[in-house]
Amino acid sequence: MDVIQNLRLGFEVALTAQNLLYCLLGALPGTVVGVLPGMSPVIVISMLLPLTFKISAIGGLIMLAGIYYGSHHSGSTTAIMLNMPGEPSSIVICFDGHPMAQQGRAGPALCIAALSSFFAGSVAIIFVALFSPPISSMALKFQAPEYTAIILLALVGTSALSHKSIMSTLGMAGLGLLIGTVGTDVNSGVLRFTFGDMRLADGVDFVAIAVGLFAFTEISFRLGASRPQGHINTRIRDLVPHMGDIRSSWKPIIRGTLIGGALGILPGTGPLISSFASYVMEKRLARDKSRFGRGAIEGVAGPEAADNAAALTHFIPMLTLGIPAGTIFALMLGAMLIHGIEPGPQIMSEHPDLFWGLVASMWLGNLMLLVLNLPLVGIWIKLLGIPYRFLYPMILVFSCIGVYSIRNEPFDIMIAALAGAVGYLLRKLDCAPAPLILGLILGPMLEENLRRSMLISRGDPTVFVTRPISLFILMFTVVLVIVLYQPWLRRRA
Amino acid sequence: MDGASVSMNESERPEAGRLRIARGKARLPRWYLAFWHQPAQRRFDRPAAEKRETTGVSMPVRISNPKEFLVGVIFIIVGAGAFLLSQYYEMGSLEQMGPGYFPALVGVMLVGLGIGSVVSGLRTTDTDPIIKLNIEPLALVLAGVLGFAFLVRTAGLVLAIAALIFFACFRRLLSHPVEVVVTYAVLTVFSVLLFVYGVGMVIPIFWWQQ
Repeated sequence: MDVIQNLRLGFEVALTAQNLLYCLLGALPGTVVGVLPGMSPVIVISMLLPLTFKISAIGGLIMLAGIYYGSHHSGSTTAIMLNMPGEPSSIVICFDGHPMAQQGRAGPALCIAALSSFFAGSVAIIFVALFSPPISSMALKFQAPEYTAIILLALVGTSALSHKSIMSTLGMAGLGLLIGTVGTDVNSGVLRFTFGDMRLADGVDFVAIAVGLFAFTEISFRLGASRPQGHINTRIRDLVPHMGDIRSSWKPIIRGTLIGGALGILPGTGPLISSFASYVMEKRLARDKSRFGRGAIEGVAGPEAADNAAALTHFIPMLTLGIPAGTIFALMLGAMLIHGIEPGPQIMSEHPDLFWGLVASMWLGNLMLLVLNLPLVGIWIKLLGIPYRFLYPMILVFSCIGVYSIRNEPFDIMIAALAGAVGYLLRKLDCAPAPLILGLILGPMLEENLRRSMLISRGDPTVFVTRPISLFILMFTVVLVIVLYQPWLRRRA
Repeated sequence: MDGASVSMNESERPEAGRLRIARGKARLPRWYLAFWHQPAQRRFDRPAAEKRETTGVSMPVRISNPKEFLVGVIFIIVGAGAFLLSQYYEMGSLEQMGPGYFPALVGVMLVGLGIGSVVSGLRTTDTDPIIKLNIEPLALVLAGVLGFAFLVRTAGLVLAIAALIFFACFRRLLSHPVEVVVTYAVLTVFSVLLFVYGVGMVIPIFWWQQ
């Protein structure tokens, strides 16, 4: 079978010593990031992005992906131990994971979470391997109008996820689109919005904006207001779950994996929705609903599986269509562009080693995490005690060096500082920064495809609704927004 | 290092940030506290944000959600600015879009969203209508970052990191100088080893290495 041959190619790529090292170098910091308060994978990825420009494209992607799923694995650790989600999507794990820990069953909860992460990750990677080739070959037939529609879906969908007012999130995406137009226009060579400064001729670097918006803003916020930090009142007695735990959690794990894997394919849903959907489902199916919220193991196993499955199947839209399913994917997409890899359906035919190598490395990384996380859980919990005053100087120094090293230009650091100031103000005004980054990275692609669609249709804007696939995507976008703005979904998160 | 006793329950002290200032007063110089404790916190309070219509009939327009209102104003300004600046570039037609078309389109969209946000800011109520700006940490972090930007190419990495840490950890430097100096030393050695020798980035370490 084709898939098996491709997977063999992937493992050949992923099993080289260098790529294994990158996988470990991504998964381990990712785990640390998922545990440490005040460090989100977005901050660390934007901080380390310039480093990946110095290594091979596949190595860099393997590392970034490792940070991403590593943090997803360990995000549940803090949720269980401290009732503090390390990752937004582990909020759901808090509902039942922390009560379990309070009852002295933190060990089994952590163990089941790790096992379900690994199981979900493995199945999701099979999903990625099976579904990417057909989606990619279908997408090869897409033309500019379909791409325009898909980019709009990614922009609107991820904006709608941020749980702020729709006007402010769409406006943030608009700001990002505008920043994305700065620099030389590819079609005409005209310098736009550079104000005569040649340092802006290549456009505003997205790494600088990401570092400013996420790292600098977050640090200023944390130094300004003290947040209630976690208090460890739980103890790990033994890690091994009872037979009963395993018996009652294997079905939720499978259901969660399927839910997460299916929802993850749609760009703009996000792991939080998947894990929440799984939690609701387990609660519905349970015979005794009152146990939920008081330490039901099903409420840990199902959502954790859904979270990790969705986290990995999010790679499908990114690798087949070039559409990021969130900020982290947008940053990875930007990294691919810098390595000269045009994201889109042609990746699979033009760079099969990259695609399959990444898929194989994700499985290996998940295996590493399973082996590492459980024995080292004591160390991860110790890490929680590191005071923020030692962390933020490190983030600042690494961010500044990283931004400077993109093109050895101090001007980029000033851009980052400006983005930090603007980001601080916008965050005070309850605006989510993620849509801005997405708009910034997708902006040039959107403009290019919009122009091309209009050229194909001879200036007829109805082309988007007369072509069936683009109509379908646009309708799906509308439905997604309507569903996501339902009060019952927004209340919880 | 309070790693041994991991009781970090600051939720018992709801205003821990403020308390820390009070406790640190003995150590921090008075001029420093006086500098930041000028009215840096602006309040966009309900009475302050009240507007009066110019028709003569005094009808106070109450901005019930100042955050949304301000966001809308920002969007309108940026969108209108983008639209006006785009006029300097060739517009083209819908079929043959010029370089100015897309920014103008986004600008118009942004103005529309801004108007929507302003209207909704006048209508809905926010639970927390007060915007507090605590600019001390932001200003210090950005001062450090800008110091790094100015120094990194001319004076080298060691001095640039010094400037960054000096500003970013200023409060801590006044109270615990040794700790900050040690942090600085460790970070500098680590960055030089990792980025300059390890990854091979072209960054001067000292000013004579340009």
